[in-house]
Amino acid sequence: MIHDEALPKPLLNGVLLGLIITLLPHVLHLPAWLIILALAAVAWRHFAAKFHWRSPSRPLRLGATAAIFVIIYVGCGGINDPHAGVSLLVAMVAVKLLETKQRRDAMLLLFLSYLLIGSIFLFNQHIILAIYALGAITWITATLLQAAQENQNLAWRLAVRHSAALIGQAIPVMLVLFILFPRLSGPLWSVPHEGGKGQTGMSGYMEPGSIGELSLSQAVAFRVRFLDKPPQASELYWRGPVLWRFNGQSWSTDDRPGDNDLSKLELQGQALRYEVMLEPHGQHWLLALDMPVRTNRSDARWLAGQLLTDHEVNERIRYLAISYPQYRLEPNLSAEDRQRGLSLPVSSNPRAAALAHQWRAQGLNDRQIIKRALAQFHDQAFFYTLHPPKLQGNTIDEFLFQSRRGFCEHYASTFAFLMRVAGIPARIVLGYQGGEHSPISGYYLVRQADAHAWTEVWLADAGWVRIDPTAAIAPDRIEADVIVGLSGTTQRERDGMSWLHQFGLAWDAINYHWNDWVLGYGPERQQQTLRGLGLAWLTPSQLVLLMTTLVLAILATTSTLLLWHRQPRTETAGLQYRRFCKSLALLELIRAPHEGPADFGRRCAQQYPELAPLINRFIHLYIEQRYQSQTQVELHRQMRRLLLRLRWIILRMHLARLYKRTVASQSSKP
Amino acid sequence: MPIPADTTPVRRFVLRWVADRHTRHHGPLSLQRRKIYILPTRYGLLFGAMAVVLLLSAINYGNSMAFAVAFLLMGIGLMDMYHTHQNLLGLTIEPLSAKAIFAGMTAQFPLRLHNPSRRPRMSILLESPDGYVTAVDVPGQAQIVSELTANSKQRGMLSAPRFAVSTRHPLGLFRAWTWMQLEMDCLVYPQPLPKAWLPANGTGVEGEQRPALIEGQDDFNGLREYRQGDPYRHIAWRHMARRDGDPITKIFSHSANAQLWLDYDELPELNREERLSRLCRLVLDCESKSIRYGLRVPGQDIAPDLGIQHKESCLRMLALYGLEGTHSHDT
Repeated sequence: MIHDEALPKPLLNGVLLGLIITLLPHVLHLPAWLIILALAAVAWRHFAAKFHWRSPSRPLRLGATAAIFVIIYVGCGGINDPHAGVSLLVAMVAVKLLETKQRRDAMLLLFLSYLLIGSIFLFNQHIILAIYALGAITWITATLLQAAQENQNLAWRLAVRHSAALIGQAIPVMLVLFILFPRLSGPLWSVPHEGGKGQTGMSGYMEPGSIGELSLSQAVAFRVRFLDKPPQASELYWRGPVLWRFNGQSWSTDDRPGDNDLSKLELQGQALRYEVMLEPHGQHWLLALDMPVRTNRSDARWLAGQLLTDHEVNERIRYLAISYPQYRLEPNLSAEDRQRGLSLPVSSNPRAAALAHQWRAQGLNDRQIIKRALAQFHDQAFFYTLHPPKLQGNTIDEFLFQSRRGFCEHYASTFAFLMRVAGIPARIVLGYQGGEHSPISGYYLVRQADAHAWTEVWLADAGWVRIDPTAAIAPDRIEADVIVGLSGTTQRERDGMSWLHQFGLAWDAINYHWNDWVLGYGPERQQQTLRGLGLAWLTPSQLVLLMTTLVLAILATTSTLLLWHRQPRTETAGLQYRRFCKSLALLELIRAPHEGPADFGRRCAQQYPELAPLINRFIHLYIEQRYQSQTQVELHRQMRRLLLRLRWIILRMHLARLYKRTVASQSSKP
Repeated sequence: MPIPADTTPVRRFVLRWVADRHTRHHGPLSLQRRKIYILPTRYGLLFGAMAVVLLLSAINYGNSMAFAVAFLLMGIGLMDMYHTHQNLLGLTIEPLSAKAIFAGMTAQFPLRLHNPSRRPRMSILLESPDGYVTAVDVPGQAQIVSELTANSKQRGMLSAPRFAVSTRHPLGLFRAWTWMQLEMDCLVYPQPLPKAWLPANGTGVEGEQRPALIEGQDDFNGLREYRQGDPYRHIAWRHMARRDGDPITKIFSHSANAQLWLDYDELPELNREERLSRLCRLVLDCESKSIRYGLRVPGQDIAPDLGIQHKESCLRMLALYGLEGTHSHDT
């Protein structure tokens, strides 16, 4: 390899194509101008080679480099962020392209392409992107192969094939390393978090319309696999944050430390164990079935009916949780919590307040008041719709007496307000309701569209009781565009399973396993896997030793397989001839034992003149092969191709005759 | 290979080790596992560094796919190493006889590369210590003849230098190589002088010829019909024009029956190598002018004759005169 020689044009174009392939997916997360700049540099390099343009002068290049670096540094606020790091990588590629003249520059660009394709995953690890990256790596490796040729260029088709073979052999090594390489639980250097940017999900805040927005999103919120018998779909209330504070329009969490005393929770009935894989939502709570008790995460704690972690959930996490569908929470309410559950802003929503006061004045007890409020929603013309009219001012008054069209947050908010006015402690719980059972992989898929808000009221003896006022609306007043149903069955299920929907579920199942086993393969999953393999007792250093041994074993196996594959096959010509004879036997041309290939071929050709050219050529090649000391690869390949064509034609003829015979025999019958 | 005195101890140790492991070998040599060495190239180091950078960022961000890419690249590197090694393993290299050359020219040692396996051996390099590199692809189960190039500085029997057979195929991340020194000689004739005069005193010239400068004016001796093989510059163009285009050849007196003795001792004013170079030129000139010539050096002589075989035996005598055996490549 003479590295200072000028770059051959096909090689250069291969490198440029590889760069285009690797740069394109970065558009998803890097500033578009940077990618366009880099692609422009690629185009410039292509035409510069074509029309013999000269490279820009050194000061110009240095100036451009400095300018891009400054822009990136300022734009990303430092370089610790992966965005900045990868942007710099892209800028480096663009600048390097301006001075790519020699083979070694091409090699450098190829290595940068590898880095670029690997760095895509810092932003997005979708399965489609992984497949794309595999293709891109195949192409880059093919170009590397091309660059390392000493004599002449390979055909690209051949280079890609070699590269694919090489990658196929590398994949077992990758798998072993992936499974056994010791995983750490923390980062090596501090990683700036993105603070839930661009993540969908609920916040610890609810106002009219905030959940309605979410309900349009088909994005996955989390997936659940039950280890015990799953409850009824209508019982699937997934708890998120608990909202106490009401300012007249919106509800929010309050910042009180809250009570984490589990002794206030009396559990009844059967426990339910399940595993949740939660998509990142940038908040502190873990979603869990009403009523969660604990999880296997050390950084999660129970706090007054919520599960909270110490860190924001900024990546997909997995946890086991235990819930008790039947429970009694805080049968004795502290004075302070009672105060929290009743506090209202002064003089808000006077008409609604008057209504609640009126119920109390009628002498109704707590339970009767609850029933009365729910009856209000059911009997009057309340509609459940995704597109409620905008409310202003005293939103609850307006909703209760005028618009009467709303989404779950309207009902929950109104109901909780009425309760508080009537002197019943009430609070809002945000979360998700329902979930779609995926028949393919057996988990429940909960989407953002399943987001829900309900209320809890405190009743003496019973403690906090879940009341879902949305469920009180008469079913005939649910508008058709509502995707989320009321009793856990969804519109999708009612429609039956279209094949597209089936496909969607299958695709989600693949994604689920991908997320679970590939992307979620961290220290815990690794321990689990090792336990499954009976290797949990290995220390990290023994693990590395095992890994090395296995990689060597793979090398040995590969070499044995390849060597075995490469053994000269002496009988292949004979084998092909036997196949040839077998195929012709379909046409009732059977080789007599005394017949040599030439005679048999001649007889066949006479019988079927339309096949004669193919047969003659095949026999000719066979004889040539047969009586030659060395097998010749080219002859061999020709023979194989011929045989393939012959067999195809003969099969068609045979089927046609069979068909004709069947038709004839049927028509001869009465 | 003699070890130059100015090398560092470490280098000297390595060179001696190499010399001990790769002694001269007679006949075809098959590349054995224990004599194939492999090290990463600088691109290989860069590739490794890149995989490590990816791995570090994968560890830091706990990013599974970055792990996967880093491990895939490591796997590719490992497989490349394996294939690079396999590209040499089992290849057989057989020395063929080299054509004689004149000192100062490059010697071409032909080698037959035999690939016993079905898989082609791509981009095999024959690297001579003089910096000549020949690249060759050997298809599966095939034999290819290629050449090892070396410099020749002086006459004598030049033995093939220790050379490296190396490859970086397929990805160029590793270089596998072995050294070999095959028993293979190339006869190096003395470097002929650009021009030479016949001996002035005419000793050894039989017949009536006076000593003559071979290059230049010869005695014109008449004309005859052109015969195939006559040198063009002996054609009498002027006569030909007169005689309607039938070619006529000028005959020079010594071309027909002259006989020269080229005698080492006739050139007393010169040192040995200069005399040999001059004699070499005279042998070539006599041959091209078809003057029968004999060669005499102290202790040996070859009777006057003409023809390629005669020329070669004369040149061989000149090449080996006063030398014993072969000289090694870089003495």
